[in-house]
Amino acid sequence: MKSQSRPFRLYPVYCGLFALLLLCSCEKFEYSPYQTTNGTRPANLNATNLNKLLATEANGNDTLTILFTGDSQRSYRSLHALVAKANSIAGIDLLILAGDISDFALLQDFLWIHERLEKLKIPYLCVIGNHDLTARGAQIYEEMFGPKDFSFSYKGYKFLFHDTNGREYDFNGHVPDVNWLSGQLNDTTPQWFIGVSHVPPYDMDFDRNLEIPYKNLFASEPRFLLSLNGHIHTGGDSFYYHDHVRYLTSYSVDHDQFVLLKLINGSINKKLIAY
Amino acid sequence: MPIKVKKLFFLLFLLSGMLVPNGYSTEPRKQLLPVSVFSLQYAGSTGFMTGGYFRSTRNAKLQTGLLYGYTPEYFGGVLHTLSLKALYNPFKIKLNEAFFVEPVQVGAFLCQNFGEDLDPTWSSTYPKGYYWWTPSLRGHVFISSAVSLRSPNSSLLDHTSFYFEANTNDLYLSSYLVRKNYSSLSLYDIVFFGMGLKFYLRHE
Repeated sequence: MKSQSRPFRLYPVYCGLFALLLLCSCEKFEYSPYQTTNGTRPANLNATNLNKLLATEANGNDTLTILFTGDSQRSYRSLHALVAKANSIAGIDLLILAGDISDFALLQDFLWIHERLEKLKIPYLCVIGNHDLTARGAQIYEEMFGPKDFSFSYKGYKFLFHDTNGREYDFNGHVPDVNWLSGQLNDTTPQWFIGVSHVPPYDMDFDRNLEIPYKNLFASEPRFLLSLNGHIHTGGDSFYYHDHVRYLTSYSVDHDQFVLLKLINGSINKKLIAY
Repeated sequence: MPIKVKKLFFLLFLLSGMLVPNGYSTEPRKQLLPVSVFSLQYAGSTGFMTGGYFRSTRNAKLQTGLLYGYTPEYFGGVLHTLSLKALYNPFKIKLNEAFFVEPVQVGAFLCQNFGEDLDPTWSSTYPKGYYWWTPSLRGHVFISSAVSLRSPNSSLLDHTSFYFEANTNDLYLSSYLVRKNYSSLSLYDIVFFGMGLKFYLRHE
């Protein structure tokens, strides 16, 4: 019996160790890389950031300054540098991330990107990319960021954030949602429209059957100024369809430079900034 | 350090475990006879709760098991996870008649995750190699420590282990290693925990 008593005297030690384990933050206990939540992940980030942005509208001037980037997928070090650079520049209204926030659409991808972006002093808005739609990414994106298609007006510009990742839906003819876009363009209040989506219409990952109706819709609206896209990873800039709509693509975050856009009364001033 | 030398060190490390005396049968052939082990685990990336069945050598140095894990919706599921797990258990330290510790266990497991939006293969809509990783099959490596309590001789159980395990998977490792991310992500960031009990059935 004596030999048995010694281990039991160690019980406080085991209990202490066990308590220590429980003190490890709960999110470090992973159920699966494919879990969609960890109990502490943020929600409705786009709505939160939009409120932040709209609160600045009244006290700002009518120049709209956008930090335009995209494809942050698995570029954690570069994103960290981008955020530091962005925080050192005064007068930026918002950061737009043109999709492919994550690479594998795992909860952790989204969280690691968010941990860096939340250090931004300015509001940031994300649109969904094709990588974000793999695995259970659609659900994670909608819970963490919000709806895939959404719009808002700021300083006379109406932004149309929308899903153009046709290939992820087996080119089912419903993505992008041309009807939703067309309804948005009926709004008579804004002076200008800006489209924000991941896959540009001329890319092979855009639903080929929707390319013509989509670009025609934009061309049919004289107030449609600009389409901001990601996916290509290198900055593109053209009037691709030889109409009045300018198509700009972002540099991916790992290119260590972003585009700074200054819009004054519908005229666009573009600057590349390295970080 | 050249890769060949690294490999040699790794092999020596693995072999070193076999030199450490342990409390089981000293007859080498008998040590390799299999025994059955049942496991119950919380978290550890194989499910919210995971049950498993292992075959282990009698000295418990090598174990392979098949596991099923379930994650309810509330915890980010619904997910069903099937895992194949292998463990190498080099050291055993006897604390006293009742308790012993296995301070370092290493191993790997393959997990196939099933659930809504999780397919075992990519859709044929994608050109070949469009996404380079497998959509729902993950490879993990882990390291664990265990504290075990021997059962009385009359019991069906030989001993029960409590273990704490840290793992990472192929995609997290790749996230850590590419584009010099190791200067932004820490190793702690890519490692996740689980803990559980293992019930070693008595042999003979």
